[in-house]
Amino acid sequence: MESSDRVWRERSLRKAVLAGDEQAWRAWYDEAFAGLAAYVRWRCGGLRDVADDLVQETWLTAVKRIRQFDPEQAPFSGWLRGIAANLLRNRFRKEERRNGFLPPQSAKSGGAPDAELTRRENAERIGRALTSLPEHYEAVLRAKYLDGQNVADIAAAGGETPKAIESLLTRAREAFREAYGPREDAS
Amino acid sequence: MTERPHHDPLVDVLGGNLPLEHDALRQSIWRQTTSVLRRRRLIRRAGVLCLLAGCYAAGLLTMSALKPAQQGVQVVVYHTVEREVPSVSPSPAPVESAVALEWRAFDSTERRAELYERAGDLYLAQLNDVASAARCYRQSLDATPTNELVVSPDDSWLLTSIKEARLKERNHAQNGG
Repeated sequence: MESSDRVWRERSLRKAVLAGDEQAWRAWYDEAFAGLAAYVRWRCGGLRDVADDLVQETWLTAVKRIRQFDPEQAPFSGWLRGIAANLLRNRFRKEERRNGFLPPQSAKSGGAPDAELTRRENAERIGRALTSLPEHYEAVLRAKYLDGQNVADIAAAGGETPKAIESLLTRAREAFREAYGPREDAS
Repeated sequence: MTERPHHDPLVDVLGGNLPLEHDALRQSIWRQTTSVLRRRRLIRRAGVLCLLAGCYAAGLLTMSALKPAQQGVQVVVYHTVEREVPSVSPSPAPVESAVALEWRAFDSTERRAELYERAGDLYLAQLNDVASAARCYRQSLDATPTNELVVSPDDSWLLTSIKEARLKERNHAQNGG
């Protein structure tokens, strides 16, 4: 769909949703639900309970703030991802304030490592690392690892050269590794 | 030398290999978001109704504000009429007053001439009743001593005519005609 068509369509949907039209909302919801759920799950490092809460919170925020959505700025799916990313960032900040920063690899002291706890910690580290990245790094990592696009596709979608995308991807990976911390199996 | 396929370690960490089963979540969120939409629709309708009610109330207020102003105008008109009446006649009810004055003059002994003259004025000015005015004027002049008969600039045309006729009669009688 061309950009002007998308803007026109999304503007019409927005107007209808503001008037309380459930059919218009259904169209948007069905189109965007799976993509948003996958994105949030990816951003949460695969933690399903956290992701489900966040997906719910994202949709409720979206339906309440639909007046602020501007189709000319971004597509609806992008706007939803922005809401989810902000909510996730706020969630991490709140947790840090409440519990203090959780250092990487904080295995249980003295006992056998609890697999579930380790998984959750790793997932949180992934989530925090992705949250700390600049937006364009996060976007290129998303395209590569979540959407499964190759460099040529990403370049074509963004109007860039494959070389530029390769370079961006390298820098994004480096930034992620730095934020994520040392690998557990490195020792 | 064979080139080993490059393994990206981040695929294990960031790979999107997550099974998604979210039908229940999808339905639950749908219900919640549509309830927000329904509430918005209700609020919107209530807003329109409030707006209409507001317009109606504003209309009523405007009408009630205009009503006293119209009554005020009527009062002004009433006063204007009241002021005009004394300039022509001292009495607001001229027909009755002329008749009443004539009756008072008939009953009076001291101010008979004056009251008949005023009654004549009223008949002439207010009712244009020349016959009644002439009758009252004649009665007034009959009650006036002959030597006091003088034409005044305030006299009506009819009274002046009658006075002049009386004066001519008197002169004629004095001259022995």
